[in-house]
Amino acid sequence: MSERQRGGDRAPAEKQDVCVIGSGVAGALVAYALSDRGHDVVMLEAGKRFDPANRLQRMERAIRPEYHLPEVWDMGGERDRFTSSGDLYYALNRTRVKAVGGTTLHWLGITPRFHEKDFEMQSRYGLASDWPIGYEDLRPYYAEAETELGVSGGTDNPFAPPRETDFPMDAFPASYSDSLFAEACEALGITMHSVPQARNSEPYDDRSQCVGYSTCIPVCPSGAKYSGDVHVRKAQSNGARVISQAPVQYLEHDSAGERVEAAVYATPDGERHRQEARQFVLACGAVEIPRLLLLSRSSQYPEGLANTSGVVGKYFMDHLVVRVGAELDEPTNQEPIGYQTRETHQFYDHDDSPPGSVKLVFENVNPPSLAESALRGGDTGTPGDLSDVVAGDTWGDELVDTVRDRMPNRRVGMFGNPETLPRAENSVTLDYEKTDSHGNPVPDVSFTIGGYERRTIEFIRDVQRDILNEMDASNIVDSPLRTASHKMGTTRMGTDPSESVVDSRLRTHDLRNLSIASSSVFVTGGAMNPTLTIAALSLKAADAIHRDL
Amino acid sequence: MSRREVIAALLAGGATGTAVSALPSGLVETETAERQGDLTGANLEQLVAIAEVVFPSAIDVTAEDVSEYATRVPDDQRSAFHRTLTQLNRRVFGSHGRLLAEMSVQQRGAALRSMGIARVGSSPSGSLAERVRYYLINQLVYSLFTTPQGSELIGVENPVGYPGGYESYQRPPTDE
Repeated sequence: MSERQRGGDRAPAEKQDVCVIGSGVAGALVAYALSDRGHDVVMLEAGKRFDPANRLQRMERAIRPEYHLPEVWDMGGERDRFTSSGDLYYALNRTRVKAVGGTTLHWLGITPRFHEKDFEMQSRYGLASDWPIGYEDLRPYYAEAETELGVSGGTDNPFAPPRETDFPMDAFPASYSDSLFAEACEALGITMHSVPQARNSEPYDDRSQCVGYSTCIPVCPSGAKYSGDVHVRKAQSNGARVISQAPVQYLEHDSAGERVEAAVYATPDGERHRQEARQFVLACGAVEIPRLLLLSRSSQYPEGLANTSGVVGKYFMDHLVVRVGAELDEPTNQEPIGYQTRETHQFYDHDDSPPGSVKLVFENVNPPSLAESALRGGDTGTPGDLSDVVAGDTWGDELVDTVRDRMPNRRVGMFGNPETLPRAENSVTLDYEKTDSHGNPVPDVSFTIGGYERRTIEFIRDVQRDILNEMDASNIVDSPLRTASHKMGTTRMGTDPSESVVDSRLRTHDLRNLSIASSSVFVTGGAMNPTLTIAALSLKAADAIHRDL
Repeated sequence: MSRREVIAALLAGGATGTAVSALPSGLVETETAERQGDLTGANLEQLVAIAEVVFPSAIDVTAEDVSEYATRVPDDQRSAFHRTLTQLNRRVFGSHGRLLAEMSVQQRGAALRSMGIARVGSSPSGSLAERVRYYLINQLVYSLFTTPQGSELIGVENPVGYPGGYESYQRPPTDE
């Protein structure tokens, strides 16, 4: 690989058809799809390129207690400063990766399609807004995305939206712990089914079958789980160029304010460069995209680039995780695997609302990592804490006895993802009181849930209790509410330029050569994991850009 | 074959070390190892001595396993790894007049605890005790308990961090 291909040469590329900003799954697919059709593509990526050969060392970071989760992919520090101002603290750096491949280096890999209702919330329920496109518009792109990412899935889901082809790979078999839920669910009339996921259940696309490292979040050492760097490499094979460690500072537009002329990016040597291109694609996620548009304000766009509507950064959404755990009076014998194999969409489609849609997932409750417990000397807390001063950590046989006592092998768990609605006050804005390593205001994420979400949470907790009671489970404990790291909605799609940022072909209303490929364009977020929809939209955007070039 | 016999056999097979009990030669060997990025015989015996303290008694500590574990130290950390081994060697010898490998397992545990190693956190850039915890003890513990050899002691066939396939998660319990 040449110095230019490795990203060491960070000078701008000349005469580019397309400049893609961000190299996660969205940017990677756009770059791949356009370079595959012969267009000259350059990608600007704020983070570095991690060598796939070092994945085992990244995994060791994930397991050893000396490292915090963001450090697995070198997140944190001045570059990644942020603030959180909503009712729910938003731990942004725990859930994103700035690197070639983006946050898909860290994701779990679950890839359901949205259901038809997710695009029609206003028409069906009088809630939020409809998307300007429907399920049928995305349906062929969903199929293409499943092929590109490599999705393992089954046709056993009676609640799934219509599909035209089988999944590229068979679904993963049910776990033993799934069978523990099955009898209770059957008694309650709840249908369990397989989980579609971008993880190889057999060798696929020159990548390994899953071998069960069980560290999917935050790192898959085998490469069985899809990550965006797969298509970055494919794009590079087509001639695309990647400039890593090149965070874009702002976008420059022409005098008419109709076209973007250049992306101005910084490099580690302190230089700044202008990357020009005929078309620009923002693909750096639902936090950094609105931030970049707001940082690119000009005399013609005083509220931020492409922000005539005033909604850039507004309607931020995430999903919630409503988890419950319990114990059974029998061994559950759950070997670690790192992902779920059965769920139900039974509570997703409904005639009335609220409560909103819910996806219910049956966990393979991994025993606590033995290695992690052992590395903590048998502690469950922080190594070197005050009690250690007196007692000290355990080793040898004492350690094994301690850990065995803490692993009763009787635990089960499940979690629901309740639907959240877009709210204008949930937002990504600029915090001018705090700056990053380049002196730019950091993103402030504000996220608060309302009555709709709380009612849906109550509903799913009732369902969870019903199932656990049917199983005669004991010690039922609700986990604290948390967000799922499914950031969406800050540059929403729509037909009305006064209420949305991009049109149905993902092009900004304001600038003729600026498109957005991201969950930031989602109008509503449903309760499904967003990545397959991001991938489908990215392929759709690439089609539109190809037609323009 | 005993542990010492295994080590002796390894040394006879071409390892770079010579004496295993004399501190000065051990230090010389470590400096060589820093250049070569390899374990010396003295290094290996010291690591085995630590492993016998921190590993459960059900684990048969072999020089081959420990040597293999040590090879997982990333290249950019090898110098610090060897330096920590050397400094621990010196500290123990200075305090006790013997190397760890010359003590009983109980004496070794007590010697390590007397340095505070059971009470400190683990850090690659901290005090000697923290670095011993990071480079030596935690490297050994990580390597053991991310394999079935260690995890089966608590009934887990496919521990976190081990590429043990995904068949095991489908199987019902085989005991209890």
